[in-house]
Amino acid sequence: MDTKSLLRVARLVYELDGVEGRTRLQKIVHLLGEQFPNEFRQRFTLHYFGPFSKELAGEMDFLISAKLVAEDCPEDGTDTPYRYKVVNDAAGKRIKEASEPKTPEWVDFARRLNQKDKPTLEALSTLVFLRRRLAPEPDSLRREFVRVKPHLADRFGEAVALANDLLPSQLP
Amino acid sequence: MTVLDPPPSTGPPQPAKAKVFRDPVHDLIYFTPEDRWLLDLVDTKEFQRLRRIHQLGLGSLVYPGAEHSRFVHSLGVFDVARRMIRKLKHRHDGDGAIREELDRKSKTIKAAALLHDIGHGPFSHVFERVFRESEPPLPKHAEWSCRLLRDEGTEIGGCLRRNEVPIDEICRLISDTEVPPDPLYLRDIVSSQLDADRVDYLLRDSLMTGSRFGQFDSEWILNALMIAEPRIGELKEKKLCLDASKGTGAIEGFLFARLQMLSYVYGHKTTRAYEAELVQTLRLAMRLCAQLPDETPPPVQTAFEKKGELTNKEYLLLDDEVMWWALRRWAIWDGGALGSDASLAVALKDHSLRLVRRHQPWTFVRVRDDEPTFEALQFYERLIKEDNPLQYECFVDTLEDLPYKDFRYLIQTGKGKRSSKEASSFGEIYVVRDGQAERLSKYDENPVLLGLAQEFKLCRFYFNRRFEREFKESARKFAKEFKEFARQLQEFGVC
Repeated sequence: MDTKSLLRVARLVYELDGVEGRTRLQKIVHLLGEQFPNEFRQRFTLHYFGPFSKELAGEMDFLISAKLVAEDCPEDGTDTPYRYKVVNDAAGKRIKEASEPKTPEWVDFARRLNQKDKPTLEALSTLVFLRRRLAPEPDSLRREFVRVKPHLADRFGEAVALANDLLPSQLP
Repeated sequence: MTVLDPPPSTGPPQPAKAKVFRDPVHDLIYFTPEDRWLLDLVDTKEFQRLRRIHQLGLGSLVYPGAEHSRFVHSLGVFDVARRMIRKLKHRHDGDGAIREELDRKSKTIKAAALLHDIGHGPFSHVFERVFRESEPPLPKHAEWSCRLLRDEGTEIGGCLRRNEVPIDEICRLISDTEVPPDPLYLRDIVSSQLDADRVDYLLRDSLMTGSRFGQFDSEWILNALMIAEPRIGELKEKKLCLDASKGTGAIEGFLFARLQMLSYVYGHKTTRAYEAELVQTLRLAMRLCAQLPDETPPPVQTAFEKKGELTNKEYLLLDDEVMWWALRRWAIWDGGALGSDASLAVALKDHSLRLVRRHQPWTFVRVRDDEPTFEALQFYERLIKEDNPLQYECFVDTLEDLPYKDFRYLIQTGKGKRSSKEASSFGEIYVVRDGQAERLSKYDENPVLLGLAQEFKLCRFYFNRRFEREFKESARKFAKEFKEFARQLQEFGVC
């Protein structure tokens, strides 16, 4: 467990004034890691809901039990997403002081991502995961995308355009 | 020709023969004539290097029998994977498509099983922790494996290309950060919650440590394996599954064996103490790398100078032997003319000597609860920030640091109140009951599995007892900031 990484995740929750949903948080951190690899260092594997980091899930559990971040759980049987937020102002102050006093460079990017809806983030994050690992052939990228995300197949083009806009450094 | 080049073949080609290895776990490991090409992989210098990497890192300092290497473990994983393929073909005797697929992919699966650990660094997982802060983040061992396989300059990569084995496909099987293979069950055999790797390492580590905890009914698990198509969200993918009517008891034993090995062998307090000290010894040596004695082996010197960001060639020169040689050299280094760094040189000598001679391990305070754990982590960061030399005399060891995969998926879904959606992992264990494949973690009427789904957390603050007074003083100094951890540290030794 790495303190800097823990604090950075807590700072993300603080700067976004809370995050709606575990999937959303996972995708935002994945995309932040693509753009700011030295800051967000979690390892991601491809799961059904797209890139997922076991390390990040562990960090969130830890921040919750360390009473820095609160998790509002949905009642059983509902589709309401989890909501993460910093426990209170004192915790926010502590997080800010312990991480870095000024606003980090990645905050704007995180806010832009947080404005997207969940399927868009899921499609974008999956596309970026695949694009980093596959040979730069549009056909193989589309084929793999549709294989692992059949329900988002019609968002492939949108995800490519968005990735080119948000992560131009990743272009082949 | 260099001394490392293989000798040229002479005379007409000989008909392929079977080859057999004696093995303490599996008895006989066969390479049939059809698998004989895999022996060319075994003979490469990259695979032979695994003889010089201990499977359990410093585990033999606690369990003297645990001298086994990544080399023999890799042969074992190959053997289990080969038997899994055979059992699956037998189980799906009437299904031509699956049999044909297994035949077509068996070369790739076997090669992946054999080569899955090719990228391990010295002392297995410990080495990765030394360079944790490096920028950019350094690859983990599975990613190193893929790098080495894809490298046109390695013998192993050349051998795979000559035998027309698709390297990208092997990488998809051994590293979960690669794109999942199609079909998914191919990765399940090599790298999943129920893979050949785990079957072998639990049995082998248990046998070689003499601890018995890791024993389980592996043959029955193999006998209960099957391929089914569970629905994973919108996907219907072929997965390696267990026939619930046969395998439930065996899978309980398997998971319990893992939990016990985690608690009593992989998380053993003394092994972890030596690992903590080794990590800090190597970090200290990295800090002093410009001044280390001339006899420090060049591969180790290079690793520190480049902060772990090595070429494949440089990485392959690192193994346990070269690291032990460095430690033995530092253990007799007086640090002579180091000026202001002289005390650090003395510390390096002290650490190295203790590791080489297996002298008294570091002691620890068991940190209770997560808030004090967070404080302990911050306390350690503070020592680093202040450039306090005590930073090399302690280590915050959390269970999350354990180099062995946990039960996260099972744990998360076992809590009841939590949704298991995000945990829908492609690597989960699936069972088939009444013709339906479902996640093992959904199998919640089983009290044994529910019992195993308890969260297991551990945090130990290791430190050099010689500096107990200094640590307690520091704790007092920061008592306001790190209240609970400081209290627990100060209570150390008070009965």
